[in-house]
Amino acid sequence: MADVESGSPEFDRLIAADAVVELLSTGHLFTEGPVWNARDSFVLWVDIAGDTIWKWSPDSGASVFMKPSGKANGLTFDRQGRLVAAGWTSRKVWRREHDGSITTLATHFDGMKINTPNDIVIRSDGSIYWTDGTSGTRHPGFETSEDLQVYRNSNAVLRWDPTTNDVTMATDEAGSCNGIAFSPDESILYVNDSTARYLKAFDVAADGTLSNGRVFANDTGSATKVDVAGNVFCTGKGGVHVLDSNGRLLGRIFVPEKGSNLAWGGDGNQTLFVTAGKSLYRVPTLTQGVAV
Amino acid sequence: MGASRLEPFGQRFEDGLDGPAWDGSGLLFCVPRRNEIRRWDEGSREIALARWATVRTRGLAFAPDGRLYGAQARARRVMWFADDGASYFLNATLDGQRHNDPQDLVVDSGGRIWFTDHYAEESIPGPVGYPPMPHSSVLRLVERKRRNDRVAGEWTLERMTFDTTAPSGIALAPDHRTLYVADRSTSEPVVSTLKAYKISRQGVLGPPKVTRKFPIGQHAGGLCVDRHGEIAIAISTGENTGCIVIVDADGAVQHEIELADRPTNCCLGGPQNATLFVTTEGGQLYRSEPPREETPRKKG
Repeated sequence: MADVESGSPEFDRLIAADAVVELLSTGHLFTEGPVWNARDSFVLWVDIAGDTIWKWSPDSGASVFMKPSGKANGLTFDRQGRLVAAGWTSRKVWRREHDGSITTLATHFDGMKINTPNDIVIRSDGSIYWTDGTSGTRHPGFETSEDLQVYRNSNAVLRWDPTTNDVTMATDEAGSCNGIAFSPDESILYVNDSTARYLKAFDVAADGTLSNGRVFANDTGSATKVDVAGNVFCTGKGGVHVLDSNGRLLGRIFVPEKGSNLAWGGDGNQTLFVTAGKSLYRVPTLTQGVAV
Repeated sequence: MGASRLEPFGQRFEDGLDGPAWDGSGLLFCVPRRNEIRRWDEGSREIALARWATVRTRGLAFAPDGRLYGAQARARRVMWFADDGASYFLNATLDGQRHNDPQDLVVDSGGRIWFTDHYAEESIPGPVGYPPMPHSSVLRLVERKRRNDRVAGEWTLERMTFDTTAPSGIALAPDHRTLYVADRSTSEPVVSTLKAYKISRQGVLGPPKVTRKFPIGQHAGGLCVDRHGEIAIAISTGENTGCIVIVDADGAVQHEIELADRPTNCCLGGPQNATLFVTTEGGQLYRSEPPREETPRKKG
């Protein structure tokens, strides 16, 4: 069986019919949060239950990047090249400085401990958005020594302001929010609802506030990334669903295990890295992803 | 145990109740499917929300130092519910393995937490970090090191029973030298038993003694033990029927109290700790009239 399924000519211009989904690393407990470091050409991802951030490079293969990881989930890099993490059951958003030290960016919102930051994205103005759901407090195997009590019994997308260090609510209309990504021009924020299994889209104003939340696509999974043309790559049944900027399904990429997240990387950001089950995969594409 | 009649009190919940525990001036109880712990106050007679987002907590027990522990089913955790509102996971593995779903628990005079642990098909939603433990047993958590009041400290997990198949209710005799466990067979015909295990001074568990084998169709749930060593057992007999069976230490039935509901668990509390409280699958609390004589707490 081919690794891809084309449903349109547009898909054929994005993914070659003979593209192969390649296994890069396996044997982990639960993989998530891949992110490409363009400066040094390696991909990072997390094994949440294994409390580890892993690294893979074409030259060296897989190795441990950071352990313990505080059961971190989504990862990204800021414009200064520093790793920023959605800390999941460590109940914080943190940044790894170039000297390896950790800076805590957010632990509370509105006077209450934040929930379990799941996935994360940084806007061009340096503000950080993350999906702040409660599911991390419920899953066995992902605990830290932190307090697991939920104080704000609702899910929300929160935003950290780099100029004030304040945390505000971007929206509480994203359901069981999980994956998060901006459109290429940052005029749209996509948020996955992994329980309702749809992808929502929100308009983003110049000041970063969100409005007009609507369902962009159904039958989607837990994470989303976007290419420079605005096509949406989303985990879903079978692997990765490729949608156009109107939410129309163009085709699918099949991944052997259930996909949790994805990231653009490699030369020219044309490789799609996919964390799935116990493994990390990659697949070459004909398009170019939005760089973090 | 002087309870001869049970009367309903408080509002009826739409979901089943479990895990009652007396806190000295009120009754804590669980509403597992709503992920809540509620509290009935003895003075005001009001029921209020005590905790939310409790991840199917269904059993509660107080330790001698006053700490409250909970059996958090579906998350495979024993939790410490701290006084400041925080909730901490007691992290310990047995031979590197995560335990299954805690059903109920009791804390002995040394602060050791004994809990019934069972795996069911519906046990784990979402991503799983660990495979199920291949047995359903009574396990014991022993605190190795206490740090402060803001983290759970270090715990050791031990397997205590090797004969149980689906343990549920658990209680200690007043002198904490006998452990009582309600067990259930997992193959047809399904039979519930009450088992007693002697506990040595070193905390070693002796072999099981089946003190009562319940008739087919009677399913045993939670237990409590009074000062005289009499044991009250929550027994369900049908979809909406059940009873509280009170037996002596040898398993001989002293009396039964019928209920038009399925009891899930029971505990002692109230004035002189002589009131029997019962939680039911029908969402109703019941209590007995306190007798004249003094009887001890079930847990803690």
